[in-house]
Amino acid sequence: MTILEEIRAEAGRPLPELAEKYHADGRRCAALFCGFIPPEIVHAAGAVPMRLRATGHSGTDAGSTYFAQTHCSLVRHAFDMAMRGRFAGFDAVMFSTGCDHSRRVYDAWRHADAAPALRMLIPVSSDSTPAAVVALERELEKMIFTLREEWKVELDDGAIGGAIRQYNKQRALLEQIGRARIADDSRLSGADVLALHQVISSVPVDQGNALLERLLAELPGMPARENATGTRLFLVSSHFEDLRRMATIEEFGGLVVGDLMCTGTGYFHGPVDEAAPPLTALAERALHRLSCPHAADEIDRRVRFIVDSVREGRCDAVILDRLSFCAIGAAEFFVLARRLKAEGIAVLELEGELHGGGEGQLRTRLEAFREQLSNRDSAR
Amino acid sequence: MIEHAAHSAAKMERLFAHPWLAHRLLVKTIAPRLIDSDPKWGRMMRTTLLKTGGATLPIEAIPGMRQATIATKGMHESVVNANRNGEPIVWFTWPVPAAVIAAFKVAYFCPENFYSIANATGGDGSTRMCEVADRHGVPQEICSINRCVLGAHLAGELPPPAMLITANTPCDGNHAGNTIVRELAQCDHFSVGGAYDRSPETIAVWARSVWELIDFMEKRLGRPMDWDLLRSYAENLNRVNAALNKVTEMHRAVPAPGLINPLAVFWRVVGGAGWEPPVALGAELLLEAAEKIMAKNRARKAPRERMRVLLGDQAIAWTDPGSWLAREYGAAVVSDYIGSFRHPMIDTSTRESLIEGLVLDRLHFSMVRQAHGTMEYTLQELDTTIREYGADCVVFHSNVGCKHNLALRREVEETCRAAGVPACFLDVDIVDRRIMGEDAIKQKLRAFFAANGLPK
Repeated sequence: MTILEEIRAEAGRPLPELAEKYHADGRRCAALFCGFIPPEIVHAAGAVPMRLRATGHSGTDAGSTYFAQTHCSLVRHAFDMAMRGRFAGFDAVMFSTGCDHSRRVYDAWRHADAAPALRMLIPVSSDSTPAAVVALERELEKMIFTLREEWKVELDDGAIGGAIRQYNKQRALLEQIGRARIADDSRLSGADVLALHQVISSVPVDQGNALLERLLAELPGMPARENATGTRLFLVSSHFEDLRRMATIEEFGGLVVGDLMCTGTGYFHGPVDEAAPPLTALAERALHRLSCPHAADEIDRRVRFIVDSVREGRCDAVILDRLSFCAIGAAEFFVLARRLKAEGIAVLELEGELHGGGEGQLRTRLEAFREQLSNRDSAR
Repeated sequence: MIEHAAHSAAKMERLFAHPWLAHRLLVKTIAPRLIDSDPKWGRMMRTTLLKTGGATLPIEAIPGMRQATIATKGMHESVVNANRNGEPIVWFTWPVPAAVIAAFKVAYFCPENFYSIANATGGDGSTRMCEVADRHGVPQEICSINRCVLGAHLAGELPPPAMLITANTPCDGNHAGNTIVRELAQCDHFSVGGAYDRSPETIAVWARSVWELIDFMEKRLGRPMDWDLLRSYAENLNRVNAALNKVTEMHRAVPAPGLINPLAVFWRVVGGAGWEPPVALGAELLLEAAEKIMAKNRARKAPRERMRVLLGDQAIAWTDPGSWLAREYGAAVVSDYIGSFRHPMIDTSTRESLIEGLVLDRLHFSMVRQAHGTMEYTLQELDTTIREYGADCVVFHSNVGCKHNLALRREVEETCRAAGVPACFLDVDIVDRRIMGEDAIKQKLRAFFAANGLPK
């Protein structure tokens, strides 16, 4: 089995299964619903921070007892898992106020008294003003206080500082992966990188770093991708976890050589300032990093990042793919589409569910888009 | 549309100067004819009239309503004039402590109030604005209150802003609408925010962002804020809150004074210009009206209403079923989500306490109050209202674009069940009437009342 096959296999494992494994090793696990929650704090508390995803889960019947069909399918899937006791092996689940769906899933979780018993909400302002940074810093202090009380752990600045250094190392390694991804002789597909992100966001940071170092060492010996010189795409999304959808995009649209997603580059981009007090630095990064439309004031930064990445990665187009019923994502894409088109960048807007659905339609749209791109290129 | 709304308010104000005549003409003669139909002759006034209370508006409320109308006219005329004279206009959204903006002596406008302005031109006004938004590709996921604003902006119905002061709380609709409006308006912008709960610590953080706003505006406008004016505005808000908090509470009485619609009218006015003197005077006159009605009810030993209805979430903007409920079922709405005032008083003693007080005041503004924070903010208020206002049933409009409210339906249902009160969920769109029309609403309500044996 090659390292990429290993990564794919690991990414396909449901989170509860991984939590069971870490529990057997005597480690606590915490599911993080949103990228605004710093994994550094959870790691410093001795637990494994695992980015919540619904890999391997199908159906939302139980989740829909609290949520309507017009709520995001991530929320419905995650809550369905909660209602079926699939998070019982976790020691905590943490939410943020990233959107109305996610803040209400925290409420529903409490109302249904679904496991685990420790459920935390970290309110995050959607502004990046100095006042918002102070507010988040305060919320992180509260989070630390709760973890100390509940888990009876030492959780000091030293431990958090150490975790920040480890995660910064991970971010630097991922940046190297990102550079390898845009090369003309790229060895990595978008699906490979998505799987990699899923794995490292659900294993202890040291294991993740070891995996990344191994991958970087093995990359030069791997064969280049056949479609690396064909249509090159940049993908913008929020919580994107469907490896099959990514494969469809790459098969019928083109190779995804860059991304801005909560479950991809957005989560890892940009280091935490190691010289600043840890909580201030974490709050600063959370609000000023790339990633999510929740950070409304940061849209210019995201646009700039996309445009620069498209140029650097020699991308032919940008795909904006969002989860249905996400109002803030829809508004963000309204703006992005206008701005990117104004920059002369071709844009395809898609929307869909968390897992599967509408694959035929997706293929047709991708094929038509690829044809449009090739017509445009021949006309030049 | 804004000019039209200003003219309509001016006409209404002149008529309200003669309460007896206004009551005979509007409440007794015209309103009853508009409950079931939308004739050509009444199109321009139907929604406004029904929202004001229609055939149920007590004569005692008219002097207070006149002041609300004066304030409305003032709001609309000031932006129309500023636009005409090329003066800068500052837009703000509901959760912003906007008295601060007004204290810069600059023209201001709350675009979220636009749906009621649009419906002053006919009940389809806000729907037409949503259609414009649709045509320009504004995503349908966004709450129609905000789509209406975006449509109006795209249709050229709004005076362009020189500055946008927004708050991305309390909901995704606001957040998403702000994102697009900022893109379309391309002007200076400041976002206020930070508080998810109402603890002193988070209020302090939000207050800090208001201090940052003051600094921002001073730099952009090149002049200082008038603190004395701001203090007087806060004192006006205290008068408003003191009076309207009482009027809200007086609806616990059996029978209630029947001023829910006027309270909702005041909610819109308070949202746009609550610090202006006519609003304070109007609120006090409404309190006087409530006291008079209560005294009258006591004197004649008025019986309990046949059915006491609670409106559990945002009211419909393009119609109002109150008059129909009264006529068909002898029902009275005794509390609604929007027109319930539960504001704390603002401490005006120091600049710091003044800013914190203004922040807290805005976080208690209906809709902001229930929508931000965890489910307890919504459920506890609902539970208290059901139990203390003697409700026989709760009607939820269940605005289809309101994701956070829809996500609380199970919890809300259980709260109602625990209180022993039936709940009806209509699933309408409160701004865009294409989703469910009036007949369908009435049909659903009839079925609900019949199924629950109401009125008892």
